[in-house]
Amino acid sequence: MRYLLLCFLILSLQSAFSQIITGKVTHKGAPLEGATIYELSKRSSTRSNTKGEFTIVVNTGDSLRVSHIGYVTVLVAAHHDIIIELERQENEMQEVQISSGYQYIPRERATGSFTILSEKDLSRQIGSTVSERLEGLVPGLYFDRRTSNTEITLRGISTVRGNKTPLIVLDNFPFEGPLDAINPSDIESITVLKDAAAASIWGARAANGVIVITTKKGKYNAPVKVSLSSNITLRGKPDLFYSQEMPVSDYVSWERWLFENGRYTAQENSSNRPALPPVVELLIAERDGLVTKEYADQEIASIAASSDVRNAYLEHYYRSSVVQRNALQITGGSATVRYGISGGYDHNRTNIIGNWSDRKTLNFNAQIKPLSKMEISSGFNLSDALNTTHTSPLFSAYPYEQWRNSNGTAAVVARGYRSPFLAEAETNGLLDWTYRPLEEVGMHDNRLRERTFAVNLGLKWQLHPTLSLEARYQSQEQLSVGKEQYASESYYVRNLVNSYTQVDPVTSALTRPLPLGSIIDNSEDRRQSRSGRLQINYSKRWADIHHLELLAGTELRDIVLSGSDSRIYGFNPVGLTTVPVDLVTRYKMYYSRNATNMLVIPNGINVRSGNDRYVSYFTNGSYTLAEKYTVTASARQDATNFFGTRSNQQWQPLWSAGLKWQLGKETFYRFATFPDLSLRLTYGYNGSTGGGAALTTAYYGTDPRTRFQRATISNPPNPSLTWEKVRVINVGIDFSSKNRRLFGSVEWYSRAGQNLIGPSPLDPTTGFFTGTFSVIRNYASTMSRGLDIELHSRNTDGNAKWTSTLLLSLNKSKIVEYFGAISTNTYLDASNTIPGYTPGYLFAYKFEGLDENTGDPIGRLEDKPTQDYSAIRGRTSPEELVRIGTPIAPWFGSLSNRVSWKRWNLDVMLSFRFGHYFKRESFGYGIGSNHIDYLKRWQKPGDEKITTVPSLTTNFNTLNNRTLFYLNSEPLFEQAGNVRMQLIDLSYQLRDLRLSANAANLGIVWQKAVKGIDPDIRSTATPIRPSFSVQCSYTF
Amino acid sequence: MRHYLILSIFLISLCGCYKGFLEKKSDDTLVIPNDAQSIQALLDNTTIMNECLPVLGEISSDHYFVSDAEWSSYPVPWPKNAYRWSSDIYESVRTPPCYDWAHSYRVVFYANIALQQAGKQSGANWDGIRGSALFYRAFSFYQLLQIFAPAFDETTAQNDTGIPLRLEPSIDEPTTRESVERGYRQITEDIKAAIDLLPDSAATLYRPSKPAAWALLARTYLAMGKYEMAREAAEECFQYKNELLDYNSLNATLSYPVPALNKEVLFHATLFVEPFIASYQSILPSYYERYAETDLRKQVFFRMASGRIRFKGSYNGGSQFFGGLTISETLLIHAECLARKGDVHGALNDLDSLRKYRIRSADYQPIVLDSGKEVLEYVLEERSKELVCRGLRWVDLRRLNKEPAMQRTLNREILGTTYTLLPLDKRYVLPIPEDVIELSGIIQNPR
Repeated sequence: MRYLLLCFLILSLQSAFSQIITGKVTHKGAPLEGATIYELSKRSSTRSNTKGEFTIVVNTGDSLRVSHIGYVTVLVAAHHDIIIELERQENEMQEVQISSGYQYIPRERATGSFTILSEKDLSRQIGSTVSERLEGLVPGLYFDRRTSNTEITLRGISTVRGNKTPLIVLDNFPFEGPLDAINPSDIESITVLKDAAAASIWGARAANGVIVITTKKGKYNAPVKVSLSSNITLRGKPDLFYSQEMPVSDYVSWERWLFENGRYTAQENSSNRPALPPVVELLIAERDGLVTKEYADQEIASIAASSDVRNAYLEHYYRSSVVQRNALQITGGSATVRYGISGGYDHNRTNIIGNWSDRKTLNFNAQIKPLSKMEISSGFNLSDALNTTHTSPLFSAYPYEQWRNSNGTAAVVARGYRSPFLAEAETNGLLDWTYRPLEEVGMHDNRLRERTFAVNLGLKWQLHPTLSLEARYQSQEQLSVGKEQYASESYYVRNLVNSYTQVDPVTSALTRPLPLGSIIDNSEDRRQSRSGRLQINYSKRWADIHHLELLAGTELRDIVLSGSDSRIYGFNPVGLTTVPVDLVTRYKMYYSRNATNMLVIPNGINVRSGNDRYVSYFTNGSYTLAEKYTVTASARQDATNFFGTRSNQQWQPLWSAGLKWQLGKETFYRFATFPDLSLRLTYGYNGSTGGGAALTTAYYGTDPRTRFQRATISNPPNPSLTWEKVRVINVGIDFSSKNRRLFGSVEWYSRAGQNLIGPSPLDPTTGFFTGTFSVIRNYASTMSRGLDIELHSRNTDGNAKWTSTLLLSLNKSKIVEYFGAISTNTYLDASNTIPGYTPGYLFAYKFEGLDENTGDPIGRLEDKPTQDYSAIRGRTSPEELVRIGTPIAPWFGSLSNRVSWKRWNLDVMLSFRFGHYFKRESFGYGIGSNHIDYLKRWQKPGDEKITTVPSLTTNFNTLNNRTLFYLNSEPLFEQAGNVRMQLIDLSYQLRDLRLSANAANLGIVWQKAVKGIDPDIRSTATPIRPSFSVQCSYTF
Repeated sequence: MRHYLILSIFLISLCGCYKGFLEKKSDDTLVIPNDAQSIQALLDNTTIMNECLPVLGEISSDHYFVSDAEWSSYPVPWPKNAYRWSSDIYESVRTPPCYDWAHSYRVVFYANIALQQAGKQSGANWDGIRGSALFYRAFSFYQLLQIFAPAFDETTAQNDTGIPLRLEPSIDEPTTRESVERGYRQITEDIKAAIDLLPDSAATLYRPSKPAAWALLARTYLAMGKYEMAREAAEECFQYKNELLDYNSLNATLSYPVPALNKEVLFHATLFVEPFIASYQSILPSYYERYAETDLRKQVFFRMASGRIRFKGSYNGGSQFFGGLTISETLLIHAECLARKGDVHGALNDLDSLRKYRIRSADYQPIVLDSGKEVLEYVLEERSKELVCRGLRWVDLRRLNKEPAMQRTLNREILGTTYTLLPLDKRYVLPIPEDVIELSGIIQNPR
């Protein structure tokens, strides 16, 4: 009947201008549903049906533009029975839909700022963790390695004291563990949500952006696919000689100088008899006439000739690390069932001898369609990780110490207390109190087992063609059990036993309240989280030009934490016996000359318990007109139990709005270089809990006087406390040249942190203080502005394909307001927060060279050169400090080049950072200072022309201020700009088999300032060593 | 449409469930102090409530000295400057701060938290808490007034600038200074209210009780010069407790001969440990010589250590200076009040009952004096001998300066310079710590 009607229509209109034509859209011959067919002159459009077919009214000689998400748009002349073959788009960005953790949005309709990483992008860095894989792939994502914990920030800083890292979402729910606990081989894709419109659906936890991780799932109507992969990564021993220490012989003469100038007197006379360097012990013995000068000089000379202790560390403590990862995945599906099963086994031989970890994972997920309009999903994840440490860090304080005697036995190094005292204690009947690093290897048995079990359940029910209901539930339990055992022969146990040994004042008999035998510390921590979500989705399309999508829902989250620690003394592995100890009596410390230095035996008992609860309502909508104009809006209201029970402060409404204009689809748009062009604009708020409580809280203890229960107030009533929030504005342009030879985006953003929570000064009259006169309040605001530029180019086509990607980010963050006390010394602090400057901005004292007669550094105060260091330290005003620059690179990014030729594929990624500064380490003029700048110190008049390192001085009254002045003065600050070779990855694809080899973190290839110092890491750390991996994967 | 309706009802019904869900505490080691047990635990925090009495008055007192060498090398400016009665004692040096103000207001804050939570609660537990909180607050206000406000003078108290009287535990409420009269009124009213609520005796002397409250009232009235009311309060105190410690029974050779929490103690409190006086104080030989050889206190209170006289008679049973309330102090208040109204017999009676426990039994002789003036002088002399190193000397200097006959000029010599504090000098009122002035905006005391 339909065909009859159609024929009639066609015939009747053949003579007219317009005609109805039919056609079919295909991909590799298979019908393609949902393609948009757009008639250019009439501006009418239609869509292809399930068979790929369509009909449309056209004018004679007119053109059709056929587009489909994930396919290359084509322009064809209209004619009857046209078959239009669409090609897959090469760019994964268009292919993958954006996952916000609540919904999937086609990129075309997204107004916000997103970065999507497909499995293919992520697979370039084999053998590495998830966070390592993200580096260099996401514009605006910055890895700050200036502290021991690498802090990941997205688009600058928008908090002062709160958490700066983005929220991690794993398969629809927030993931509370560390990012690197996720097995990278299970990941299908990662979406990074960067602005308010993108992230506002995560409300009060989205202030730092959101990283949404989706794991691999099966597909309906897909054959069984099995993939196996195995990789191995090698990384060398740490480069200990990176740290700039003076040669051993110089260190010995430096210690001698310190001794001769009486710098060890305080330590020597200390009532606790702290250990002194072996050289100093010899000099004391010589001074006291216990050894001859010849003997002491000879011994010291032989010490000065010994090899650097870092060699011993490299020989006896460190080794190359080896990480193995093995994974198996099976996916498949019929019309009504799909599933994915994966298993993994990782083994990590760490770079410390005797220590290793391994992890086994098992994941399962399945979706079934019991009714055509209903999908039920279920799944579980199991993971079991074991960390084993047999060697606690080996201790050796002086560079000339040897770990092995010339006769091959393990040598003693200085630790704890003075060597004559240790010898005397042993003759008095105490345990051997010396420390031999080589004997400590393997003395420690620390096992930390972490088990995770998660269950997911989900239901999606299409109630009506436009309306669906979604319910999700996740329960996760993480259990970590630690057992740390110190062998009875270990230094740790011997030291404790000896410290607590009591001497009878009359008989001199010894008693040991802390018994011999092993010490065991047990710990157990449990984290249980339950999350539930109920959501309604509405989607309607009418008159072919209106498209409305709405969703609304509510979510509940409950995280229960509990844990405890306990300690066992006097454990004997034979017979499993333990010895009870008196944890109440205070004992005099054996090592102390001070009779009042009394301590109780540490009981090692701790109990922890906590509960975080979140409730939220959310809604999100988008409306698209004629596939050209999209408006989005989103709102979310959150509450937690953090702030106490005053609900008016618990609830935090956050919202966003966005606009997108696909300019390229306008008929008046004729700019041929970039036929695809769209503009985006968003505005909105994201939030953060920030810490702190509005209610009075206190903690219990036992009163030392009355033994009654007592309470101490930890937080005063603070009813005006509210959440932190960040106002985000994002403007973006997406563009693509013809055939997508060059495409990319430019985004400008501004993020204003408001109501930021932190300690602000409080009038002592209020009566609240815990050490400092401050209270947690909404006390600061920040502003972070920047640009994210992403540029992809296809340089050559054909047999050898060469593509390039440039990511370039500019970010300038600063503190706007800060209601806290700021003195000049706070300006010099690495964690400063000065209004108008980036957090941690580098300031320095003015430096006017060295005095030509004394080699003392010259500073400047009140516009006059001065050597009054205490005045410089005490009276320099902030205005007199030199503004050096920001420690966080304002310009950063990466350049990737990918060349594929036949079955070969080569990836090279360079990363760069520019425009920031760092402070070099230098010589510290005190006991233990061992920086190589010692050699560059001023020694004679004239040296001031070639060095900025001050002389040694015996003016000890001013030394501390002189040193602090020097270590914070101009000459030590350097530009930190650098380019690194991040990655080289080579792979070979032979049908189902893929082989790849990869080298990562190859180090700095160019840097602005001094060579040999990595400006982006903590000054006391050694740089990450390059790693080399090979991987083999097979799919069938 | 039906679907929408069902879903809407379902979603709305969920809202109701959330309220209780969010009331759970986020960290179980934290307590929200709102029940009688946790509030009592706050007041039982002896480190905060009993061991932080101010020290500026004691530092400024005239019974001791610090050697030039120790004075010069002492690293913190404010105790050194308070010792020489400087106008500016803080010299803008913030660390380590003088905690006198903050410590006293912390007690007020804890008391106010307790009073706020006690609200309209009833029951014996809550009565005890309310009574204790009022006592602690009054005791703190009393300490603050002795240091940071002029001595009470009936004629000017209405206009003299006193201290802020914080009566709510709010951190947002502005700080303002009230008159001296208003301050003492608050104290006496609080103590009177506390007396009705406190128990006759407490489970520990670290907690206030009825006799302690009466003794504090007697001390307050004495500072106000209201001798008749002070006498009545002291007598009320003796209704509950009137035993004295016989020094004949003490072993004077011990490091600290007076035991803590002994039967004379009504309420235990100690001065904050400031090393300037705690470690470097030497008692003036002239002061030491005021004790007769038969006076047991000479051996019980002092010891000679490397040529200097050190105090060892704290009612703390240790080195910390005692600043709490005792029967002996209350008895001396009573004696002074009787002497002032001319009751020579009564005053001598009081003195004898104390002295018989302070003088070696074998040598004890009752005092024979006739004139009221002589008796008053004797009482005051006895008072300074009995109550040494208790933070009370400064209070006495201030109040006795009001009587021309009793005025004293204080002198100190440091590194060859003589420092003098004349009677009624404005430096008898100490300056408020600078960060308090900055953060609260209240006016500084003129020096």
